[in-house]
Amino acid sequence: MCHSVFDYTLILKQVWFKKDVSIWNSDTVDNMNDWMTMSLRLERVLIVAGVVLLLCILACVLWLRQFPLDQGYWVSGPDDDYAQLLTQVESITVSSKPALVVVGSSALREALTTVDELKRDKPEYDWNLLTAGDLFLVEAAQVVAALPRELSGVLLIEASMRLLSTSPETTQQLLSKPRFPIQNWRFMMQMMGLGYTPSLGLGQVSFYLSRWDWFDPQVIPREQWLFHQVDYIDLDQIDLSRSGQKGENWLDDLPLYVHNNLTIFNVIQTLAPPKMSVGLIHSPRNPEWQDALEKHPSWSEYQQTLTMLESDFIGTILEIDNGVGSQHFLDHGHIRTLKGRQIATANFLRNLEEGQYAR
Amino acid sequence: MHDKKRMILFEILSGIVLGVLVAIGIISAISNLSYNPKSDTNKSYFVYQGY
Repeated sequence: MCHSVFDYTLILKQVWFKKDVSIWNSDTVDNMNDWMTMSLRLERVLIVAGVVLLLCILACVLWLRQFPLDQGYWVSGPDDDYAQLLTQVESITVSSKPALVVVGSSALREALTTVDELKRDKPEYDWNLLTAGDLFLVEAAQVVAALPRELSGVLLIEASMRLLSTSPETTQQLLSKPRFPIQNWRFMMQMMGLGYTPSLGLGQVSFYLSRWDWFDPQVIPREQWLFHQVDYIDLDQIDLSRSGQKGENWLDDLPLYVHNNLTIFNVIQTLAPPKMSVGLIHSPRNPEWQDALEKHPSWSEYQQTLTMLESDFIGTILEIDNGVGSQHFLDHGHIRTLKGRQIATANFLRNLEEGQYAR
Repeated sequence: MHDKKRMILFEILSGIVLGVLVAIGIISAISNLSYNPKSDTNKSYFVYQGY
């Protein structure tokens, strides 16, 4: 009868009790003291709290099911690439046609024409351009691990100076706070084997919660997602002055981190669906800064690394920027003109045909 | 009797408040485990530069 559980509950009871003046007036002081010292039944409070918590979780799940991602919900903006990437990956199914999957950053997305045009030019493939702004190698590994295991065809992974010069700290950050939410157990085991710590396996839940909006779950209709985002940006609002410097910065870091990133390339090969041929595709590069890059002390190491990668993956690395002049580039690596995209896409399809990827 | 009912009501209300607070805490904690596309610092034309 007369044991308080926590001090704070006593305070709450006092507040509660004082509110009701009638009790003060009608009950005796003894009765009041009894009530005040009456034990709060903690187990009852916890049971109610647990039920409420479960109801909250159930409400969240039901809410989520009403607004499926593949219909455009949970996309926070026309340029929410990682929501778009998740939608694309989840929609990939095994079909009778071989798949052609390209995994890379916005540089590849902006360089190629649309998926519809690629389908028209090469209908023998089931095309999937899995690109997201700033996609790193570890995220490419996540995407590859999330592909259906039964998928067959060609898988092309982006290779670039940026990807080969990514620091382990950045990789760890991307693992701990993922942008692409799927981290399956095969991926986690591989990354733990490299000494990294994956997130707590709550990536998908966190993906939805970080985009949660009670008042407007349909943030952006799916058809409004932008493919060639460079066509929609306000050039006055962005700083392009350091574009030329980026390549040199990456080459500065390359000797430090290239080994770490080569191991992630190996992981990607391990994680790829067994029936897929895995090759590499090089990011387009603005020729304006090519001379400066070639004079950099790490340039030869970069070239050697690419050669080494070529021996590990099938075929030569697909180059798509031959003949794309600097006037077609926005910055160090993003093509901004239709003509530039047509040249790059023609290069891509020709090299694909001539290479060992052709099926 | 009146006090007993009041006590039960108090316990139920405490449970509801506790449950809602825990739910909010869990939601906040888990949502921070992921990259937040709504954050202005993560957006820079078509390339996110949160890292």
